[in-house]
Amino acid sequence: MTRWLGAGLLIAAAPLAQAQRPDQIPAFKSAVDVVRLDVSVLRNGNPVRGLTAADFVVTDNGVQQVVDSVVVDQLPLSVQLVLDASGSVVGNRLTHLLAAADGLVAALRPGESAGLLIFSHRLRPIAPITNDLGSVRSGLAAITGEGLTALRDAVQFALAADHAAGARPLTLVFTDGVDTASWLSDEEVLESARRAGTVIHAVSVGSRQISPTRFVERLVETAAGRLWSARSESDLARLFTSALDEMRARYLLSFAAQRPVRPGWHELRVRLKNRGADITARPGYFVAQ
Amino acid sequence: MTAALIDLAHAAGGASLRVRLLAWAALAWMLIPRPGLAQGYRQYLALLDGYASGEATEAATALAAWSDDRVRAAVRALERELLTVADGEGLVRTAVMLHTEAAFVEDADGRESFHLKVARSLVGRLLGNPRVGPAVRDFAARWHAQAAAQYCIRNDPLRARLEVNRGLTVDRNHPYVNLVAGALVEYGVVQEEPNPRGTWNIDGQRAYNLKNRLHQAALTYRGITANHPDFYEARLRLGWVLALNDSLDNGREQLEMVASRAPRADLSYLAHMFLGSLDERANRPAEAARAYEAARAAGAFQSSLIALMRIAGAHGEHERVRALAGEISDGAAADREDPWIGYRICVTGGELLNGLRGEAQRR
Repeated sequence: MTRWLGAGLLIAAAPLAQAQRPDQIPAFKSAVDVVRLDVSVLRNGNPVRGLTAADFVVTDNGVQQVVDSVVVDQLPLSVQLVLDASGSVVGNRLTHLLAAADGLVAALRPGESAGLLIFSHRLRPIAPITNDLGSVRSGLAAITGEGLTALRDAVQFALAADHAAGARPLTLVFTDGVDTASWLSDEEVLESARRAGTVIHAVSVGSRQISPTRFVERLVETAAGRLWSARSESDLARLFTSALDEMRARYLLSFAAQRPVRPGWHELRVRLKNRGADITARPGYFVAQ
Repeated sequence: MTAALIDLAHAAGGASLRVRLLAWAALAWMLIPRPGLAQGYRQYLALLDGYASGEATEAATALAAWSDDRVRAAVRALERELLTVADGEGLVRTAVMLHTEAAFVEDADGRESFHLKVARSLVGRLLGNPRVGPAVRDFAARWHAQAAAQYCIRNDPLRARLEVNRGLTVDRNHPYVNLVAGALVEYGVVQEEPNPRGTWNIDGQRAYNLKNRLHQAALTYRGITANHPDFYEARLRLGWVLALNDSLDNGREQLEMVASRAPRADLSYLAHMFLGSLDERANRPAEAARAYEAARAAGAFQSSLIALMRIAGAHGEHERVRALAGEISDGAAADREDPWIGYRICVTGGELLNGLRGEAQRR
C-alpha cells in the first residue's frame, strides 16, 4: 500500500510510473514510499547535462540512499503563478509583468498546467491549476494594480494549490516590494514552504527599499528554487522564460525511503560523485506523524 | 438659509427623507440667480448642502473636480458670508469635512494638500473665535486626527505626523489624536521591520531604537486608557505593541479585555487574531486555532482564513486547507475590508470619520 508522506514531496509510486515511459522509469515495488527531489545542477551558471543515477549521491538524515531514477524534462510541469499586483506595480511595470506571464504560459507544452494568483493586500485567485491555459492567459488580461503587498500570505495560499498528480509543481512568484500587509510572518511561511515540496522560483524587480528580497531569498533557498533579479521591467519576460528553462533542465531524482519511515524532518544532501557543481535541491522533507 | 431649513426640519422631528427633500428644495432655491451671489459660490453652497443632506461622496467627488482657483474664490465668498449668518459654525464644519473628503477621493490624487489646506484654514477659523467652546476644540482635534490617519493611509507619514502635532496643540490629551500618534509609530516600525510578528530582520542599534519606539507608543496608549478605560481601540493597540515588545502577559491581559468587552466586531476580530498570535508564539497551536476561529466568527476576513490555513497545513489537514482556500477563492473574504489591513495603515474602523461626518451633517 502506498501512502503520502509530508505534503507532496513523497509520492505514491503508481502515479509517477504512469506518467513516464516504461522503458525509462524503473518499476517501483508496491508498498514503497518514494521520495522525489528536483535538483538543479549548474557549472559556471550553465546546466550540466547527461548525468545518470550513478552520478548522484543522496543522503537522508546522513544515510546514503540508492537513487532509483533520474529523469530530465519528461514529466509535465504544473506552474502556479503568484503575481504582485499591488499599487507599486502599475503602468509600464504591470504591462511588462503581464506580457512576461503570458509568455510563460504560452511556452508551456500540451499536457502541462498553470494557475494564476494575483495579490495586493487582497488575494485574488484568478484561475486554479488547469490544463486550459487559455483561461489563465485571458485571466491575465483583466489585472490592474492597487493596494498594499501581502506577499507572505500569497505564498502560503499558493502552497495549497492542487497540482496534477504526476506533474512537477513549480511556484513562480513575482514581487517588486516589501511585504506591508501580510498576517503571516516570514518564519511561518518558510516552515510551510519547507513542508510543501514545491519548487519556488522568484522574480523581483529593482526595489528602492532594504531587503525586500530577504524573505524571498530565504524562501527560494528553502524551496530549492532561485531568485531572478530584474534590472528593469523589460527584463521580466526574459527572466520568466529563464525560470521555466531552468526548471526543464532540472533532474528529478527518486529514491525509496527506508522503512520504517521516521516522522519529522528529514535532512537531505545531494552531491555529485567525483565532480564539482553548484547543486540546488530541497534541504529536506517532512513526514507527518 | 438652507442650513436653517434643515435645522428646522430636524427640530420638527422630520424623517431623513423629509430632511433631504427640504435640503434639495433649498438647493434649488440656492441655484436661482440672485444679484450679488456669484454662480460659483451658489454651486459651492449647493455642494455643502448636498454634503449636509447625506450625499457626502457625490459632493466630495464633485468638489474634487473643481480647479484650485474656483475653490479659492468660493471659499473667499463663504468667509465673507460667515460674517453675516447666524449658523456660521455649522456651515464651517460642513465645509471642513467636504474639503477633507474631497482631498481623498480617488480622482483627487496629488491634490490632498490643497483641499486639506483649505479645510485646515477653516478649522483655524473655528478655533479663532474668541468664544470657542470645548465642543469646537474637540471637533478640531478629531479633525486633525482624521487628516493624519488619511495621510497615513496614503503612505505619507511625514504629513501625518505634522497633522498629529497640530492636533496636539489643540488638545495634547485628546484620545483620538494620541491614538493616531501611536498608530503612526506602529506604522513607522513596520516600514523598517516588515516581519514584526516573527524574527526581526534588523538587529543591533536599529532594533533597539524600534523597541524604544514601541515602548513610547505603549506609553501613549496607556495614557489614553488611563483617562478613557472604555476606549477599546487604544486598549487593542496597547495590547499589540506590548506583545510585539515581548511584554506578553501584559499584552494578553489587554487583548483579552478587548476580546470580551469591545462593542465593535472589528476590534473583537483583531483582539482574537492577536491572541492567536500570542498562542502561536507560545507554541500552543490548538489554542491559536481556537483564537483564529473566534476571530473568524466575528468576521470571516482573509487574515483569519490564511492563519487557519497555515495551522491546518502544518497538521497535514489537507481537506481543511482546501476548504479554507475555497473560502478565499470565492472572493467574498477579499472583498470585505479586513480590519488587519486597516490596523496596519492607522485605521481601526470608521468611528472617527463617521463622527466628524455626522457633526458636519448636523446643521
